[in-house]
Amino acid sequence: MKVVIKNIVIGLFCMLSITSYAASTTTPLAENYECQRIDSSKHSTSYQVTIKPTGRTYTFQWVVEGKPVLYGTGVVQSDVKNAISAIFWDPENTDVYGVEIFEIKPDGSLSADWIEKSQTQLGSETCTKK
Amino acid sequence: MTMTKMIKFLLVTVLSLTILSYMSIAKSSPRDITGTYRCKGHDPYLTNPNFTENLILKKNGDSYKVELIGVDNAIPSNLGIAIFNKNIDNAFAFVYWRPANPDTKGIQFMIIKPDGSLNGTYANSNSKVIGTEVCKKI
Repeated sequence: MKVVIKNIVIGLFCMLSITSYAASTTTPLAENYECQRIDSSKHSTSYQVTIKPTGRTYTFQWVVEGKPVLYGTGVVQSDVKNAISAIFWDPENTDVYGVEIFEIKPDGSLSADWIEKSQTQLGSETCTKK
Repeated sequence: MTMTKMIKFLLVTVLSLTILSYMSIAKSSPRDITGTYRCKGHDPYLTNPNFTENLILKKNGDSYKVELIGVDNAIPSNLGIAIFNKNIDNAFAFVYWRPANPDTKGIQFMIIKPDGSLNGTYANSNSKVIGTEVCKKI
């Protein structure tokens, strides 16, 4: 019976240790992603997205058929280890830009919400590492 | 307490902790950040980099309208739109733009501290450097 109780206590300690370790680690950003971007009208578009560190910021590109259709600049916060936010803009139309926040999942995938300057409803985006 | 009751108690404790742990990582509603904040920051784009300004956030559906106004000014120097990520409730971000110079726009990422104050990191579009800002609600 003492062995059973000891095993339960050890199991509880291990569970709590694993949980706190998982919460403190950071999943690094990858460079290349396959993404599905859904706008506020529920229209979905596929992109290849690249994210590269650039000094203290990150440079984003959303690419369709080899051509960048959106660019972005991203910043992180040291106290929020699982997220990056970015301004994105359309190089062909200076009125089209907005904000996006990416959650970096433990498996390295990304889950984002975004909004354009002129809009009132959110879009979303999910990305998997290439 | 008999051994059997002790074991049952421990099992219930473990189960409760497991459920509580799951609930704490489940989605929660983002905090309401509406209000006026007094901010101090360091701007890499200014000759005199230290500045003070007011940040005004007003809820607007799924987003917030943002105004950044110098403390001695009446007209906002920057406007913006802020959003949360549905899975992150202790941080938000906003795109800002400068009405007097439409080519100047950027991103600011704000952490919401437990006391309601905000710590921000920002960068203009295409910039490699960042600015920082700390805001307290007034």
